[in-house]
Amino acid sequence: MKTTEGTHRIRNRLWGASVALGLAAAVAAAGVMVWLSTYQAESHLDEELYAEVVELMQGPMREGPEALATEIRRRVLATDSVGHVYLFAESQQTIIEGTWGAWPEALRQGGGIQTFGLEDVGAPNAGLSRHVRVAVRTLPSGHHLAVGQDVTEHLRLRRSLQWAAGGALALSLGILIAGGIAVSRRLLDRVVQMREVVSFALRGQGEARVPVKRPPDEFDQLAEQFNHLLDENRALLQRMREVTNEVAHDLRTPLARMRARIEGHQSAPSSEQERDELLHALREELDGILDTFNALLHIAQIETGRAQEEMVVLDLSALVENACELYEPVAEEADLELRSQIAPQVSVLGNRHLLAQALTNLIENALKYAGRGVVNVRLGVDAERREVRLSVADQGPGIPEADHERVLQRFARLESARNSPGAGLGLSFVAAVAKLHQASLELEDVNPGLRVGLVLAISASEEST
Amino acid sequence: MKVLIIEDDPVTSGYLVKALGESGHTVDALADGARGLDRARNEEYDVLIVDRMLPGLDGLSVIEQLRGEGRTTPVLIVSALGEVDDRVRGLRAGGDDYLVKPFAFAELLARLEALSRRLQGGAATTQFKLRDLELDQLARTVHRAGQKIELKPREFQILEYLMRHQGHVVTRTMLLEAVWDYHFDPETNVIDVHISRLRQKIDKGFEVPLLHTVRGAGYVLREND
Repeated sequence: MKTTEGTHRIRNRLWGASVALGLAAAVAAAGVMVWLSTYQAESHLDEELYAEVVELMQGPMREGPEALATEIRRRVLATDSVGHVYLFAESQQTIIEGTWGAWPEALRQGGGIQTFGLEDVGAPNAGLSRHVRVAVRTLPSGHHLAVGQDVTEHLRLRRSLQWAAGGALALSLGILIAGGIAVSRRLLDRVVQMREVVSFALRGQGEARVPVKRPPDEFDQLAEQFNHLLDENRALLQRMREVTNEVAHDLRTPLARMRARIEGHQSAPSSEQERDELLHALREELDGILDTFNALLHIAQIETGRAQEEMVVLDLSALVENACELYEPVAEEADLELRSQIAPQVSVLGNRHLLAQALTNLIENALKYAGRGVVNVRLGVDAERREVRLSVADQGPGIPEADHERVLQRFARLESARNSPGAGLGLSFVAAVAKLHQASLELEDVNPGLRVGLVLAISASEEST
Repeated sequence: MKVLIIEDDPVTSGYLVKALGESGHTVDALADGARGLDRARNEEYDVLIVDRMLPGLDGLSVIEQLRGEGRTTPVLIVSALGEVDDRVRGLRAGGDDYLVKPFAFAELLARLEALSRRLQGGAATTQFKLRDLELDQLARTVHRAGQKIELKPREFQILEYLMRHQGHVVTRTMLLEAVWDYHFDPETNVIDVHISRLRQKIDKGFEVPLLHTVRGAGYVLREND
């Protein structure tokens, strides 16, 4: 069989998907972390700075620039003012009061908020380290007011957080890729295992099975069903092989006989009468072959379930009575007695033609093998177990217990019966019909004789009557 | 009887033409469905023999079309498909009888004759008479030479069928189908036993036997052997 080239498409897709998902999650987490630590913190700081500007504008400035200057001086000199920046200026050149003596060039006037490095601007380092964030406001009087705060620590923290986020991201990416590959490979190795078992099976090496762990996971359950399928397949193949051999034997033998007869006549001159006899014999042989062939085909068709469509609720009592009536005179003719004991109005769901044929098969078998005595046909109802039992019993030699299983197979004829007529398909036909009706077929030694029973389920309509 | 055979196997068809001709019937044969349908439309036949699997148009379609056009010519379907549901499908399509290949010519002939008679409306008859043998279907009674004969229900059904087809051969399979509704042939010749019992009752002790065995074919109810 041709198989497609081995690709790892599912494996790639699996780990690609897991990496992409994990990456997205990690990026989102890092992003939230960075956003919280920087922009959130920054806007909080900005609010504080603005609040202080507004406070200074509305408080001391209302009493005049001097009051504001005084307040600013007080704040600059306050012990807890380290890290804070204040500037109060008339213009960029003339500072009235503040942390620095001059307005840094980098600091825009007029309004807004900005962060800048002190080394860059050359502003005097009044107890401040490198970075400040400053809010600037131009007052209605034309004065400029700036309030700032040292953010160096804050920036440093932000940077290390960003590094941490990046590192975490890189690390999780590594783990994801490695883990994704490992997991998808582990999962798909099970698939690969199954694939190998299949290719073994396809090559006819049917012994290989997919290993199943305990307790089973989903893959093990799949593997179990898979193994079951392989077992069934193997059994089927085995049966087919047997059947083929049997068909070959049972059809080839009479065909070979026919051929030998024809050749015999061709090699030696024969009379008109001999030719007539030959034709007669050939026709009989051919009819026998056709019977075997038809029976086989019939069984095969029943086994494929085609007859399922013909299932109806039928009067089994009438069907059994009908068959008994047909065979009573035949039994009598053979010095046997056909006794019937039939429960009235028993309904089952079934195929009328197949059930009738199965029953006539059983009766014919019983008549053929009984040899003497009585053949009992019985139809009974077991209301408690909701079962209908149809049985045919003879008083013949019976079948040894050990052979019960075997006689239900195609062509099975017991050694002792090899030479009696009949293609040996009768009971396997009955077994196929039983299987179609989900009925069980029971063989039982009744000493003397054999009883074959067909146990069917009571049909729903029977219960209601 | 004028017969049209629509059958694509030349051996089967040729044999049927020859054998039916020898039995005194007029036979036409065509090998494909479309031409067969055409012929059946344009010419009157007493009975059609139609194979199921045909080139061009399959047998069931031929029958369905003929029936759809209101043609009631009896049709005997012959087919290698022999399961019960195949038969049901064939009859549902409008076939009047179904014969599974391979078949004995005697079987085919008997069925053809039965089919052509069915059309002549013998179904309404309820009283049958052959020489001094009388059967009343409604009263369920049988008399021979004015003497009442007791028959079991099945024996009565067999005799009724034979009476209905008197003068014509009735095969074992036909009896199994008509009386027991069995569409398979049991291994043992069950019908023979029933016939011999019936013969005991209606022929034994009478001068002229009426129920005869036709070797290789079946039975016939008639006055002369």
